[in-house]
Amino acid sequence: MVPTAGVSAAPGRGVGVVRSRFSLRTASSPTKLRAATVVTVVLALVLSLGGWYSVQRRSTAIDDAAAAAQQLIRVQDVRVLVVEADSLASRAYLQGGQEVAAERQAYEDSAANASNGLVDAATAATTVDAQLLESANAQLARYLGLVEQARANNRQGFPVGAAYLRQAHTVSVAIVSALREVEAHARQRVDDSIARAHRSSWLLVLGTMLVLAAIVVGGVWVAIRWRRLINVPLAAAGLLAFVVLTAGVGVNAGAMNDADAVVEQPLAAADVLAQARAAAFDARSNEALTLINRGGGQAADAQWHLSKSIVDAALSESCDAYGAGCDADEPFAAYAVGYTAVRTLDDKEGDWEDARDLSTTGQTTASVPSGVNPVASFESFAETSGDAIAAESSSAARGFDNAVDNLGLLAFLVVIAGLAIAVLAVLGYGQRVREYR
Amino acid sequence: MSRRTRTTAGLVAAALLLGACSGSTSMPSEITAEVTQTTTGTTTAPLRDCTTAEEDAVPATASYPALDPMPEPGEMPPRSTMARILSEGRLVVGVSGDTLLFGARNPFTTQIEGFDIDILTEVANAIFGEDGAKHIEYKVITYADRIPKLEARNVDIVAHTMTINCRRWLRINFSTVYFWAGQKVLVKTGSGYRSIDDFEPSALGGVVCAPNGSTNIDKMAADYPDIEVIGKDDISDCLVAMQQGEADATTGDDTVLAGFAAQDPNTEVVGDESGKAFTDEPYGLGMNKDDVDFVQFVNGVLAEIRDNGRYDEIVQKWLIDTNALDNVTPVPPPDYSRPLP
Repeated sequence: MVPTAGVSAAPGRGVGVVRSRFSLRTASSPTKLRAATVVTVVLALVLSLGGWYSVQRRSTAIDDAAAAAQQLIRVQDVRVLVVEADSLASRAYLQGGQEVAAERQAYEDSAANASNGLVDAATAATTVDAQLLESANAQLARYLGLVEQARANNRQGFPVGAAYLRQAHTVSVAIVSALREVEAHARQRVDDSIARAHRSSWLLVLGTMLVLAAIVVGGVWVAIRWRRLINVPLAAAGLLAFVVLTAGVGVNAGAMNDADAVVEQPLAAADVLAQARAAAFDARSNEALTLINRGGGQAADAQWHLSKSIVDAALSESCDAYGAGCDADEPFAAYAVGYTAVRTLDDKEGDWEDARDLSTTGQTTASVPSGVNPVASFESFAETSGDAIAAESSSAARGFDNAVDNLGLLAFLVVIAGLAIAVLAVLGYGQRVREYR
Repeated sequence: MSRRTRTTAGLVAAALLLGACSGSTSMPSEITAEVTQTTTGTTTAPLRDCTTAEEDAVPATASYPALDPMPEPGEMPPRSTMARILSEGRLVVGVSGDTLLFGARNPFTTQIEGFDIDILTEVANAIFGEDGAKHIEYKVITYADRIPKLEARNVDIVAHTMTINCRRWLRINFSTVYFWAGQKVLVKTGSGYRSIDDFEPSALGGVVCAPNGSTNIDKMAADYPDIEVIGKDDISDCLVAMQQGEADATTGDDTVLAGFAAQDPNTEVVGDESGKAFTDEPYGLGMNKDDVDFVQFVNGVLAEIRDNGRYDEIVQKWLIDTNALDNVTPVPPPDYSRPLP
């Protein structure tokens, strides 16, 4: 069959008119070859740019998830520091002028680290979160002032110090509330970023499939029309497109699996463990408040039980679902036994002094079950949970880094492969076009 | 391409695209828990006003007749409230933890001490003997919790600078008057306020703080409705409010304000235009409405310590030796005219 020209251009008419009358069915073979070349090259360039954009978008989304996760961990750390400081301040008040120097230093360290942590968190925050953190920082300054007022009054023997401490605790609750809001936002950003990452690779897959389809259809057409079994450049282009498709899908899926695994395992575990730790310190703070209120601390006792139920649920979830922090459960359970002993001494036996001694030093002259020591148990829990959170947080950060490691290389190779496919398509169809010269 | 080939290719493409857009994982939800206990452990219904008939029936300061003869310590009448307390080995008392001179925790000894505490110790001694103080279990409660804690039987007796009045008699029982206080105002030294009337908007104006659930805040609403008043859960929160500039003054009983003035040398206590208290605040020990026998017993204890001079020693120790009050209003003779139910 001799190819026939199907293009007729009216003299003096524009290209648009020529295009409007173009018919592939009636076009000459060289024209069809050139059209196939243009279509393949355009699709290859779309693959090159679209694929690069697609991979970059996934990489950026995973980076965003990592940043949100880091912010979540950072803010949770600050929350724990604030609650820890409040716990130490309450116990120091209980000890009056006999406060332990090391505990005073621990309070000052917690307060300073919380303040620095808030500043760090604010620099990495969204506008809304920055306002919340700024407010929390202002509240923290107020909190520290109130604690100092409580301490100064207490040391002079002025009972108004208890009112200052009550107010300080109320302010610390407000700080914690603001931080929990920021944490919720960070969790949502992790979810949104991961979802965005999942959605981001369709352009690469679709582009590669279109290129591959164009090359396969063109290759088959050339083989049938010109009785050439293999057009080497087109075959190479097809092979390259297939490699891009499989490698792209593989690397992309691998990165996504890695990121999903981080969210499902170490990050979720760190999040849940941090909630357990914050609630545990809150319980410890309320333990002191039940004693400061001298038997009138039902509200603090109710809050202690609330915090304990959060700790129990969080530790259970952490261990059962993620296999993390399992060894923190035992010391917290021992601490809870210690708290019960403190409350029993104070409430049921009316022995406030021994209850206070057991709570603040772990020792008492009163009769308590053997081995009961809320101070040692809590310290053990604090250390164990802290280590577990640090391990899971590090693992999460490493996991996100690993997830995006290969995406940069993939984006580069997609660009190169797209350009190479375009060149090979020009060479492949060009061989047939030259036969008509 | 055959139809089968096209179908297969279509399925492969769909699978690849689906794989590219697979469902994402998400973070665990924040762990929360609900409070399973009430925050105060008690419920509080608002006090209602007495009717005129209730007001006229018997004076508010009248209590039930003192037990006569009084039982010996450690030998309480069977089935009495005192016998129950004796058998439990503890007298649960509701007190203030931060009202200097009347009921406050001493940070150096960590003991709660004050006028009210010494009166309660006398009650405990009368039940348990000379080591009665060891059998006292303190519950530090707020002003607003005084009546609810008694009604809920969280405490056996309340000694918390509590004024006897008809409205409270509707819900709890009182002993005879064991101290006579009056409402005054704590102001900042040099602030220009010389009396409660200076806080009227037509005068200097200003914000006055008073504890919620107290007769002090009721008095402000009834007699000084134009003065701006803010309420706090505890009167010590009012001192904090003053020190932080949230309030210009605190109104309360002169007994309590004397303790505040001792804690803040930049304050002073003023009264009405003549410098006197502008209310009468007869203090009574509060008990559960059903514990009439315990009220009679406590009235017997109060009569004994008035007679043997112990009451005067307690007044001397907390209110005269400390120079807390300019003068202590003598407690009137006990009125036992309230008929037994």
